[in-house]
Amino acid sequence: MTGTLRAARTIVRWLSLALLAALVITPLAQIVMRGAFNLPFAGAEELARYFLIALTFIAAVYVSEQNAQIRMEEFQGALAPRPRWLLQLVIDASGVAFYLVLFAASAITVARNLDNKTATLELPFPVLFAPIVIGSALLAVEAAVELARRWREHRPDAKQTTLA
Amino acid sequence: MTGFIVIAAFVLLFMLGFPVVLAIGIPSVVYLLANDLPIDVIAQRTLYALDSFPLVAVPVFLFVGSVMNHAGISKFIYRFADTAVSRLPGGLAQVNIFGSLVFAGMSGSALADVGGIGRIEIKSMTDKGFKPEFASAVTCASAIVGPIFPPSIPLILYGTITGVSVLQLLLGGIVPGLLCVAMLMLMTAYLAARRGYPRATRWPTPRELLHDLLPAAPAVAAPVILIGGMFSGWFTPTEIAAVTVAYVLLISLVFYRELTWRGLIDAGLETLRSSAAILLIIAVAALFGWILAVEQVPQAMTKAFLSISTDPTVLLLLVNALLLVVGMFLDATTAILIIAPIIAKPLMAAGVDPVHLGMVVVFNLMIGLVTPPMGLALFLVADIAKVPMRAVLREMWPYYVPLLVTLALITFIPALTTWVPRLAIGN
Repeated sequence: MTGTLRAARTIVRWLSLALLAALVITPLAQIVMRGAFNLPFAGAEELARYFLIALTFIAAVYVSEQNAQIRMEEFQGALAPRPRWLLQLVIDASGVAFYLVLFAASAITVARNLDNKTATLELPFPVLFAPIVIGSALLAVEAAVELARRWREHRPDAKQTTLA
Repeated sequence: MTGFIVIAAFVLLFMLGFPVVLAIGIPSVVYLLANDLPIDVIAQRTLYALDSFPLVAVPVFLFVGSVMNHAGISKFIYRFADTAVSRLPGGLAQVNIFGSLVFAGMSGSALADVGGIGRIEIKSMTDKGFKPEFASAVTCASAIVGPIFPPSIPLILYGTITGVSVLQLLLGGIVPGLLCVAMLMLMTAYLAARRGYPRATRWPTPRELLHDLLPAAPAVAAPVILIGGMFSGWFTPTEIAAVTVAYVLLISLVFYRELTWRGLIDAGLETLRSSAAILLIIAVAALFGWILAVEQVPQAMTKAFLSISTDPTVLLLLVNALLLVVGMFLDATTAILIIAPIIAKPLMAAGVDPVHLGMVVVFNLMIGLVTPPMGLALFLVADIAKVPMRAVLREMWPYYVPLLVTLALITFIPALTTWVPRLAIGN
């Protein structure tokens, strides 16, 4: 399980970096095509938007793994260790539940729109929604891993406020 | 009423330490399930919130800031600023502010400023005998310029959420950014005169100035290219972001030659951490915003605001008071995503220019970055300088004056924000 998880995290990290590179290259390619060859790059904006969607949901898994989600734990930090541990368990459990709902919602949306396509690039909806389906499933897994770790440790993590 | 319960649930969960994504997402999902609304709405709203070309600029500009820090460019900017302005009263404190302005011209984030050039500024100032608390306070205050002077991540977010032109918002930040720098420099000169801070013994000769300008020139030229590109209408903000990355990578590899493959990967990972955290909130906040719209919260707020006054100046003062408090407790991204759609409608209905309002909102929230209890720039700077936050705050107090004066000027003189965008449109 640990090996699989580590491999999945490595893939997520490199895939996210590749998407970031694609986000930079696509508008640049649009400028080069327009400026140097006076040719329109049809669908460049739609492609860049798709890369952004993919980056958000795939890289969010990396954010979750790094425990870098934006949050404020100032008030939580004032609680005694046991209630704080219980609260952190509730937060982890609600994370699992929320991402599972997001996964179910996106999977249902894909199932109901199998034949639809986007306007310019004619991306099939299953491809358009793939990042949110995969990302939300992996986010649920990351939240579950965190929940299990905290349960085993029987003590809360130190206060950690992350704002950006 | 239900809309306000959803907002109250968000505030409660946020205060309890839930990640913002969950604090926004859980009440939204509960609302949808309780009202028997189709589950498809969740996936559609979150996905389509990101289907925006201007938003692409957010990770790309964040990448610029990270690459600059990993490529050692900040060091050359600082050396040039040192030569150019260290003779001014306050010496290195003025260099700190001027350096932040140059850095701000490429990076749209206050935290990239603090973590990058801020690190160098604090060390140089303490080496020259300034108290680390004072060095931290100046770094903190000047970092505010980063998200005001173009490019600016918060202004891009504001434009995307409210539908105001991102290009006009970015151009609108030029004068307020310069004004803020001027105010901070004036306060520094005043403090220097009272406290007798050291400064350079003479002005640099043209030869010395040129000597330090040449290595910094490729970096200093970037804001000129960026603003020129936007002003001329050649590029959209997203294209400008991509051009800036290409330019910064080019000068890092060809000119400065300090960027390693490992550094580039680290810059990428740093960008992923901050941008995906922000973008996921944007996605889920769209669902939250949709619920507020269904519950007619913006309309209720419009009625409430306009019942107090229909005078734009009075309403802007109310917004200032509200946002200064909000900024103390909420991070800027969350505040923009939750508050902006609610207050934009009544203010625009009262005749406030949307670009002007955007600047007032973002400037207020940036002041929140340097005010306790949730001022992240304060946390970061105290961590870098290894001084207690309380000590930084003691030195920070005088700098709230120029920040609030700038805010007042921006609030009462809309032309300070709207003049440049109008000039560009005229062109």
